[in-house]
Amino acid sequence: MPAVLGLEGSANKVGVGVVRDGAVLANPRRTYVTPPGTGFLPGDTARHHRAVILDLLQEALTEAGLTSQEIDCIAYTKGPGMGAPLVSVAVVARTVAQLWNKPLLGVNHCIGHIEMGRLITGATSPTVLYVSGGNTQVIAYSERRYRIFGETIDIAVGNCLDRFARVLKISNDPSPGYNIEQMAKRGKKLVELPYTVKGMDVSFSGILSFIEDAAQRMLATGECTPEDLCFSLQETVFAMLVEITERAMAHCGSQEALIVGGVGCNLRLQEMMETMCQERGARLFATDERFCIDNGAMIAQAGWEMFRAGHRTPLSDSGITQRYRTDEVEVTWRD
Amino acid sequence: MARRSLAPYVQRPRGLVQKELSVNGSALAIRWTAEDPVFFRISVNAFLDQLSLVMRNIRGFGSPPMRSLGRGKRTDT
Repeated sequence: MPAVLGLEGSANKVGVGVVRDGAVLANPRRTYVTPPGTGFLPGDTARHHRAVILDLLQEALTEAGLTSQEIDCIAYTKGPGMGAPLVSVAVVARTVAQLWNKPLLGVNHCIGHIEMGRLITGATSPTVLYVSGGNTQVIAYSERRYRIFGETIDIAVGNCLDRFARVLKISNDPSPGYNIEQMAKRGKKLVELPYTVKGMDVSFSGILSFIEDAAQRMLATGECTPEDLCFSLQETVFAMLVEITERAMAHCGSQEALIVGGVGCNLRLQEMMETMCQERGARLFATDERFCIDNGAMIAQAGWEMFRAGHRTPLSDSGITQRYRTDEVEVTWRD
Repeated sequence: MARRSLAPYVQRPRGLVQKELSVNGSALAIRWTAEDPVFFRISVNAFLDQLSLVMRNIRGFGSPPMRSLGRGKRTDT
């Protein structure tokens, strides 16, 4: 019954989670929120993480009701993500692993999302739509790898939404994407935006440029409201994601779809994906904000699978990497 | 222990600034080599931030184990 402690901090969320045999024993998290109209920079984000991570670590142990001796393995996010925040978290993981004399495991952040999604939803072999501020991929498991069937060729869908939120000076609390979602519910007019699907891939940078420019013109003339723009942006980008996911499902003959990543919390995206799945006779799986949004427990869960499969990360090899492809990891814990 | 926690961070090739860590008894020694004082200052500040975190971590979460931990050695459970 191994218990794994997982540390996550690849973007503006820092979390420490504890997982044992499929049960999430603790999952505290903090978010670095910047003022409206701004994003989060690596150095400032790392400073935030350094200030709170030790408190989070203690909180996780207390919430789990475990001592350090009862932890069997320390898992941390090796990548991908922002360099300085990743380093801050990895340093704590290495120190704790030495203090408690426990093995260390570097985990791929994307695989953390997938493994937590599988655990929480019970999906067996889904086509995964992984959508967040830093990543947008359509993934399916095949022969010991999580294969990327489609992805963004430029910016992530969450990055597109977050940067548009800055244009409108939408609050970043609790997250810009959440606030866009709430505003979109009040949108009435669909503004036509570029729809950019390229085969199995998608592109969002052009849509962002277009809507940033259009927003200034259209809001100034009263042609539409900020709510209309939020609504239109969501409808467009989410339809693109649904299309490439459906294409991957058709290719794989898949009857399950799983949404993971922070943007996966969006209920409109879930609704659109559900419609597509129903039309195909497939089943949609999604989690709530506890596990969609970056968290420590997802790293712990992926680490738990890896630990049981015999993976270990030597201290000398326990660096971080800002670019870490989902399909770089050999998934030895699945058939 | 602090050297082992920080070594992977230090070992990343940085180009303009080189760092070397060594342990001398109970003292951690860091040697910087840099051509530009601005990059040197940035590197020192960033490193001290990480070192401070390691020291707070060690103070807050226990003493080093009595037996030495080899690099990459798996702990038997």
